[in-house]
Amino acid sequence: MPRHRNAGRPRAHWSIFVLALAALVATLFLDDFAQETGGGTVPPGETEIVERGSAVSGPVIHATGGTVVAERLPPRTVALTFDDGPDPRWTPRILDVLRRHSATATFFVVGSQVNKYPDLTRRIVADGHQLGLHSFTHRDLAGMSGPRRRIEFELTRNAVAHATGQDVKLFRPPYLASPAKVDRAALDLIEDAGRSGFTTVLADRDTTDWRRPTAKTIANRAMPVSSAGAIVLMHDGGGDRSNTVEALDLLLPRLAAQNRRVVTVSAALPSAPVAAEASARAKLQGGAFAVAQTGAGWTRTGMFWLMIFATALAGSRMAIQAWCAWRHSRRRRRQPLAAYGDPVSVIVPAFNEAANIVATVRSLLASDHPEVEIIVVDDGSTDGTADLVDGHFPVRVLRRPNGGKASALRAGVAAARHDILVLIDGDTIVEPDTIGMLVRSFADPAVGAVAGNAKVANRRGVIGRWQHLEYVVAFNLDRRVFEMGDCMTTVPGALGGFRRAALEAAGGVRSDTLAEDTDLTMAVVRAGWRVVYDDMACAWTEAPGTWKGLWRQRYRWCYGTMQAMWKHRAALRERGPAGRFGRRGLGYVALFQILQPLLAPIIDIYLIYALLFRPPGLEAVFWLGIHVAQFAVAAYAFRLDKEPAGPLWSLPLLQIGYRQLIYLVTIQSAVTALAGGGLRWHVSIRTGRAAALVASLDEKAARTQLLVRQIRLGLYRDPRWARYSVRAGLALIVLSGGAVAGGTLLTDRYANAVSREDLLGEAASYHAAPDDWDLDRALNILMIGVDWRKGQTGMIRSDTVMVLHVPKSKDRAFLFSLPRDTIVDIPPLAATGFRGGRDRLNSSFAYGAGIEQNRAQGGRLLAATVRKLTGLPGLDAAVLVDFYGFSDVVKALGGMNVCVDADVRSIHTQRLFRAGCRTMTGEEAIDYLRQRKKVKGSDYGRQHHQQQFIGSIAAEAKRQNLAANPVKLDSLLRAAGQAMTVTTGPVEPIDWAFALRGINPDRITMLQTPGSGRHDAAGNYLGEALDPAAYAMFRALREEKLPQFVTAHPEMVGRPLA
Amino acid sequence: MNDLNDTRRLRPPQKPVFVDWRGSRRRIVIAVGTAVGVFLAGWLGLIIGSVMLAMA
Repeated sequence: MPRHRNAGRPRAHWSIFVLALAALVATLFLDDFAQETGGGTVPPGETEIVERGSAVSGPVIHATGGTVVAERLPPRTVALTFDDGPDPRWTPRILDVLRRHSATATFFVVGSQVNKYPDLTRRIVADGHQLGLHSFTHRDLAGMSGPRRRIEFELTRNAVAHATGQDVKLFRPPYLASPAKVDRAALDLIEDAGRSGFTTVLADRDTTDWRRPTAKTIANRAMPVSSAGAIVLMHDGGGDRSNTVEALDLLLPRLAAQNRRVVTVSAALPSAPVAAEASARAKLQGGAFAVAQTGAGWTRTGMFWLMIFATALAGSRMAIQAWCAWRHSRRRRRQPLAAYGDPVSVIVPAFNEAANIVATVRSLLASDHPEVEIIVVDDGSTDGTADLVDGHFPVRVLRRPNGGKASALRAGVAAARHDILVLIDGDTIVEPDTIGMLVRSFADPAVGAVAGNAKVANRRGVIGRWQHLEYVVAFNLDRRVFEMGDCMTTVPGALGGFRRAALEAAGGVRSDTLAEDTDLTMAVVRAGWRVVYDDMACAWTEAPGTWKGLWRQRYRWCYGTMQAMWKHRAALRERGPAGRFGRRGLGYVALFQILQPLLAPIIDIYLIYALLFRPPGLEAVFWLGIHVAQFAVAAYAFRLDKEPAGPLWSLPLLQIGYRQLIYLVTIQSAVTALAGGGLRWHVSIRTGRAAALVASLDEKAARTQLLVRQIRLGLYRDPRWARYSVRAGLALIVLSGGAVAGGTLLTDRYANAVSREDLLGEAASYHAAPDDWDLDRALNILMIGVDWRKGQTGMIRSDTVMVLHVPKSKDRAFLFSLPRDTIVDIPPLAATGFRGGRDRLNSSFAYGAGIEQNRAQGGRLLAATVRKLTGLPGLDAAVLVDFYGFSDVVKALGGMNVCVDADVRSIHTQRLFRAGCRTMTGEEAIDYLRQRKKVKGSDYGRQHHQQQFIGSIAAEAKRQNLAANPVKLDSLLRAAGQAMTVTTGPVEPIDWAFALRGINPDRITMLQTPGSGRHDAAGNYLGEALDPAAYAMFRALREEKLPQFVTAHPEMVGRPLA
Repeated sequence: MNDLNDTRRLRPPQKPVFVDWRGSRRRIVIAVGTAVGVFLAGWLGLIIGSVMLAMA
């Protein structure tokens, strides 16, 4: 007879579940799509200079009907344009500045930003400014397919229509600023925009304010060079725009002073279309997508916090488990339990347990407890369970019609003669000492029940092994927690002991839940009895061997637990032991056994999405951290449970399949509970795997059982060699750790005084030919100078690039500079996603270092560029010098003699440097070295000063004989360490110092690399192109014929270094 | 009859916890489930529809 009415198991919720997951994935993709990808006018991974010829002659481009017409603004007209907004921080400030100066501008807005800040977009229009579109996501449209471009156009157009009611007609593609950069692909895009009804607006003056130069620089770059009209490109979004705001206050008065009109693009050029009234459909679509985007943003935020909460939940559970398990174990050690000899009645309810019942009874009969009464209650079995034991063994067999496990237990309890009752399942195999171990806690009269340690007998195979892990790691640790909190929730049906008085106080075994063991335990605790866990009382039970069987068992357990919790919910409000149980026990189960699995599918989806489609972030750290912690806790649980640690290897795999089954079961149970549907008692099909332990049919399982028993009783220890190996390994780890720590402390001060990083990467010659490389050959050292202040933001460019060539003879050297503006082909750098292209030499360092200022990566890209430019097979070493940090080096030397060629006034400090040689302090020397515009030869002049500076330091260090003054040498090395980064390849810096010891500063020949300026079609300066003579010098360098080259070309030799 | 005898008595079947004999809770769950399903389907439709319309 089914015990519960089966109102039909709910199924529709799985459709909702799948729908929810699909909606979640779609929402995450939408949110990802709607993320603005950042600002700037150079596509990620590409260079700034494009020299493929311009397809248009002006910045305002009409592309209709197959014709492309480009126009320029009228003279003395300036159209300020702002890209990448609206931005809640910077756009209002820019609008305020414009209002203060009574200027109007054109804002090319990003659609996703418009949806986020529609009020701001409306304010732009209300203040009299014009709107243009700048794509929806600020991705590079030139490389997109037609449909994808249409999405970008339409979503942005609709977003603006929804926010302002305007149908905007102006468009500026992301990463396309200048007409000089319009190549075939860009023209295709412009024509595509034309077909969609847009006029493309580029710019005459790109301030590159996204690189965060100073306000003054931005203002200077924005100023038109002649009376011609100009469209000026600036940014109000995509990053810190404080300098842009500041620059406007400098720029607008200057423009007004020059009597230039500052207006919108359409006001400046009548042919540029103004916005029209948007259609109702565009407004509606824009509104719908704005809702979706906002919802997606909320979902993402909610998911993130949910993940934090779930991680905190998992972390808290592990912390509680570890702490309580440690205290429980300590309690057992300090308060060992004595034997308890009272007689015991063992009740075995059995329904169709023919596969295991004989083995169960045999194992009970082998018990070493003094007096054990065994009662087998056959609950209407149809497989002859009762016949197998009745009359064959000295046990009492009660036969009764099927009434359920609780009913059978009640019958057994009623028939039992003794006051200590042990309830076990029909498939439980006990060990000889199990009953004795289980009942010894009853020596304490306050103890009403004892939970035994149920172990999985069939632990081979994936399902069995994972259940074994769960029994040891989750169930048993939780039981230790519950005992320490006096709030035990379940004495397992497989093995539990009860005092009859406690059972009676609890109202006996009830049938109104499917988890009669949990219900009974909760009732016993609420009645004021202590319930404890004895990990030494071990019994073996057969776990489900199929996924279906596991699902059914867990469904029953989970649903039954929820029933029991609901039934005992009043405990939450009670006082004393019942209240303690309610708040601690029920709270723990609700949080960690129900809420945590219910959150798990959302977390899984979010984590998988984040790990697959997002750059590694906090999510990955949490995920990894939780798994490491979980492994540590599991290892501890195995140690406490005295189990061989072998199965631990499969713990990470528990996340695939098993974990999902557990949370799906929890969902199914929760829905069944909410819907009020009853659940049948699912009977597991027994295979006799537990019985096989006793009958020695499964030798391997029996060996495992024996091993576990021997470990538990302290009869087995790992072989001596294994124990010694582990100890020796631990000692080695500690010793080597100590040695490393001590060594690091000692060497930090000196050996690491100069920071060492790989500045050469693949450009290193010792990578190209590792076997042939040594210091005896001719050497080429790359020297990079940067002028970077600590805390300075933005991209770092290399101010100075020099190559020091040392011939094989090592008696002299040649130093030549590469002009920082040299136009070069920069190779790609996979690590940064940079795809390579043509730009200035100093930009290669910036592209490599990126906005994150990774200087080592910048050095590697610069080195690769120099190798490509010079044709050298490789570079042998590199030095990155931070000139600003070198003031400390000068200080360590006690000042330095610097010769000034001609009077120079610092544009930074207004300090005047008069011609002639004098001793300068560190700050003065650095100030002088920073001057470029006011020195003779501009950049070439500054490079010479920097070369001179390095030579002077070397000369001064040699003059002071620092090798004989360790204190001064120490301070110099440590100061240099702050300002220098070196790459010395497979050898140490000291080897280099030894190899180059013969080169005096007066034996270093300075060489020039002549070149001339290049400009684009609009007259903008692009950079320097090297003369053929420079390439002839590179050839001589490659062929190691520089001495001969210098003799043949004396005009290439510059001023002496020192 | 003392407490000991009480446990010897076979109790009559008890009403299982959660079981909703009248089906009223089941109807509420179905209504809420339907509302959630409609909302989710609508949400999914909004996202997919917005993108499809923009592409059209």
